[in-house]
Amino acid sequence: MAKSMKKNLCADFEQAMWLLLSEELPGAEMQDWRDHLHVCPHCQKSLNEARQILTIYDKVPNAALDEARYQDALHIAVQAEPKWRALREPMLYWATPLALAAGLALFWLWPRANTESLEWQATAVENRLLLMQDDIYEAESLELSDAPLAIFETNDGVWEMELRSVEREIDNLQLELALSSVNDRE
Amino acid sequence: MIDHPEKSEQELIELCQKKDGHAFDRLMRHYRIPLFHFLVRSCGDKELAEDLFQDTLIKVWRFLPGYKGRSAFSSWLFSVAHNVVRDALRRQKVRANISFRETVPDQAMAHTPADEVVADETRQLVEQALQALPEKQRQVFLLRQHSGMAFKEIAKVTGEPLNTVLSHMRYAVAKLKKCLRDDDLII
Repeated sequence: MAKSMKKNLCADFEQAMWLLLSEELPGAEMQDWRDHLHVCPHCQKSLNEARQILTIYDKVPNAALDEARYQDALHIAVQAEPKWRALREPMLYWATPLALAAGLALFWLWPRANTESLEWQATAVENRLLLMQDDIYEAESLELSDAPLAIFETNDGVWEMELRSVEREIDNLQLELALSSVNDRE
Repeated sequence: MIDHPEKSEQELIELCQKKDGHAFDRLMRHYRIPLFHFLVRSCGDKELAEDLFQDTLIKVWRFLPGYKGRSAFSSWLFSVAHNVVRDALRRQKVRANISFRETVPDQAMAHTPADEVVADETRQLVEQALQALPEKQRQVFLLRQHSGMAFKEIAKVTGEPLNTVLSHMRYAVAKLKKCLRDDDLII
C-alpha cells in the first residue's frame, strides 16, 4: 500500500518538478515536495538531471543578431506605423461596430431614401401627365414597380420606363400623339 | 535626441505607447538577444529568424498601446513572438533545417580549443534534438528557457491546460537528455 502511494507520488513529481524548478508552487506544496525529495533518491535524481540538461542548454552558444540588422528592424517597425490612429487598435475593437452600423444604415436608410426618391419622381411625372392630359391624352393611372420604373397607362397603351427618362419620353409621346391626332382629324 | 538612459521599464513602455521611437529602442535593446535566440531556435534558420524578428517588432510597436500590464512585459513580448513564429510555420510550413554555419555565437561556453569542439558538438546535438521535437513541445521548452515565463503564463499563451504544458516540457527535456546521453555528453 505504502509502496503504491510512493509510486503515485513519484509519478506526480514528474509534472510537479517543473513547477518546483520555476518556483510556481504555493509554499506548503513546495515544502511537501522538498520533504519527498529528502526520502526519494529516484525523484532527487530526476530533478538533478533536469537541472543539468537546462544548464547545458543555457550554455549552448547561439546565433548573434547584427546591430545593423537590429537597427533596420527597429526603423522599419517604427515607420510601419499606420497613419490613421484608430488602426493602431486591434481591428475587432472598431471594425465590428462599424460594420454593424453600416449594415443597419444600409438596411434602414437606403431603401427608404430610394422609396422617397421614387415617390418624389412619381409625383413630378404624374403632375406633368395631368397637365398634358386634357390636350393630348388621358393618363388613367400611374404606379411604381420595385425597380425604379414608372408604369402608366394612357389611351395609347401601357408604358413602362425608367423614371429618369420618363419626362423626356413624355415629350416624344406628346409629339407623336399630336401628329397622330392631326392625322386622325384629317 | 532624447535617449532615456535613466527610465524604468514601465516608463519606457508608457513612452512607447505614446509612440516614442527612442524609448522603443531602449526597451527592445534589453530584450533583443533573448528574443532573437528564441526565434532562431524556434524556426531553425537565422535568416528566417531575422525576418520574424522584424515582424515581431512591427507587431509590438503597433499593439503596445493596447498593453495593459496584466502580465509582465517580457511575457507579453514573447507571446507576440510565439504567435509570429506559429503563423510563419503554418504559412510557410517551415520545418527544422538548421543552417547555423554562418552564425556567430555570442554566448560561448568554450575557453580552450578542446572546449570549443565540445561546445560545437553540444550545440549541434541540442539544435538537432530541438528540431526533432514536435512543435508544441519545442515552443513550450523555448518559451520557458528564453523568456523565463512561468508555466502558468505559457499555458495561457499556448491555450493549453497547465498539465499538458508540463508534459510538453517533460518530454522535450527527456528527448534532449537522450540525445546528450547517447553522445556521452552527460552521464
